[in-house]
Amino acid sequence: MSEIDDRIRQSLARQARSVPEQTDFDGLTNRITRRHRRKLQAVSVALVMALVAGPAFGFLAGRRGGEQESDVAIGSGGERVTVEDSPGGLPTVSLGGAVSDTLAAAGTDPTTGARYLPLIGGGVDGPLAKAFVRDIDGISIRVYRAAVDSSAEAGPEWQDLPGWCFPNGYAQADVSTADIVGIVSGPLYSELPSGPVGGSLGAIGVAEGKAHWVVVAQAPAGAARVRATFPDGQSDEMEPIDGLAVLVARASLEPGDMSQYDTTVPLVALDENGGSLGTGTATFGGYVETGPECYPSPDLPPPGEEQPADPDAARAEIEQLFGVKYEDRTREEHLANIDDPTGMDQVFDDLENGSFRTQVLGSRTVFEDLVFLSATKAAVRYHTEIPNFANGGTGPKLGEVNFVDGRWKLSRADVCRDVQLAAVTCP
Amino acid sequence: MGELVQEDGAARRQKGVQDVAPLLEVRIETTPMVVEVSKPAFADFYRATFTEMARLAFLLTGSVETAHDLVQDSFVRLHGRWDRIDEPRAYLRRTVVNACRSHYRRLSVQRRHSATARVENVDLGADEMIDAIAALPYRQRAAIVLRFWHDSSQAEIAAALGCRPGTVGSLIYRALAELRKVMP
Repeated sequence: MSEIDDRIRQSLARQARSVPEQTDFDGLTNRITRRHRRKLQAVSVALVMALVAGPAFGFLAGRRGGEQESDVAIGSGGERVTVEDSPGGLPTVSLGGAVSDTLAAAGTDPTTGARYLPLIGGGVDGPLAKAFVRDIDGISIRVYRAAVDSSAEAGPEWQDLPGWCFPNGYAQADVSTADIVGIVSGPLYSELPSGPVGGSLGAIGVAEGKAHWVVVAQAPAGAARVRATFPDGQSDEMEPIDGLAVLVARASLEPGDMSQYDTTVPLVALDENGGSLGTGTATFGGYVETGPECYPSPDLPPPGEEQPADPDAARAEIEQLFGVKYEDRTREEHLANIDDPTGMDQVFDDLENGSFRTQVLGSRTVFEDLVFLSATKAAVRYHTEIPNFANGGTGPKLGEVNFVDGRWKLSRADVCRDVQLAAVTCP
Repeated sequence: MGELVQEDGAARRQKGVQDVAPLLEVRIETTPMVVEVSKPAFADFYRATFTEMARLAFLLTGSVETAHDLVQDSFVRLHGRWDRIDEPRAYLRRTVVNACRSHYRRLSVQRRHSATARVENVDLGADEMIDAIAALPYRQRAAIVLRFWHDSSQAEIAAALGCRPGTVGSLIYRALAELRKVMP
């Protein structure tokens, strides 16, 4: 062993020993629970659409005529891309964590032809906007999209979580040929952790022996082309429409062999001169593997310049909003404690009659600390004790309380975020 | 109350496959909000390896807090694949090394996108050798830490870094050359 080898070993060993021997299994449990919820949310909308709409619907939709269309771009060779005029523009849907027994049927508005997106727990919630249709080499791809409102899940604005922590959109591609139909979909994000381009990978037509890879990709502003290179070396590219591209290739996939799906597809966004604007990958499910940056810090933000006239009294009043078991408050008290109780009566009905009734009735929010952001707004840290829940309840959460109509009240956004744990979504 | 369900490997891989989507319908309706995570083997493995991995991540990031975060997150990922991983220690080591690399990439993106991005509090101490190692490009640093602190074999380092074994030799050679240059 050389002298420098020895010095490296000694320095690294000394440095490593400065990390104390400690574990946090409870913290790990919390993270696993939260990740499970987030993944469920990210894929649930896509899955429900695929489940309820089904290949047959996609087949029919792919062949329905008579819609308003306007050509805006023509690809080379056998490619044709058209953008459809979607009535009502891009809809916004809320992406709750709710898991309901009710899955509303997907359908088509008879007057507009718009596809509808069924939401878990919330029934039909607005149309999916038509994005574009791409025809290439006998493959017809009809693309739909919606904006996703995940603000309740993301928490207060001052938490400032990166854009890849929660999806802000949803895209769906109905793909059909003369032999097969299928749907591939995925979440969209305002920014991605590893580059400006990313997407969802899917495979269709495997059972029919006519397999195709499909990538639903999101591209950065200014991208002239997005290119995907598929596992067997084929590539496909197109000009993104409003930051969205759907890329396809024929595939050699055998039914039943799941190992063949353990793959990713490299993507590259190109500028007008063919230069790379960045790279990324498309993965099955398409959701981003989030890291610690998506676990909000339990630290409260700094206090605002303005403070309540009597901070101690305000704090005492705010603390009264917490600490009481759900079932020990009347419905009127629950509603009166929310800054905007519009429609919340139904939410409490759902909570008290849903699958998690026992957990809801026995739950209790526990106040930890607060900081006044202004004379009428405070940031609070609290957690929720839930009987029969992993680790006894949630980890610390940050929220807001607001001074409304002469008293301090819980923010509707926080309540809506919390009730998602019990599979209930706010209107 | 839905029954406890854990996604198996096949189901996870099938999420993008339209042909098997109906299998997932049942999972959606029964997926619980309570996740069972305390399988004895996993918990034992966690307690036996956490500190080692936290120290590895610390040597790669220079921050105890970040190291704990990244390692916890690596265990979260390991938990999701626990039933189908034969060598969890190797998988975990690779995940931690990748997480540390991703951490730097994310910091870079965050700084580009947000003027208020938090600045990493790196505390590498007063050891000049440690500072010199910290200044190495990430893959060289990881190779040095795995070789000289973790006593990993060339094949193990290659697996952790996702490169060929021959590349590991090159990374270590170049790292040592740099360290010899900057260290008296």
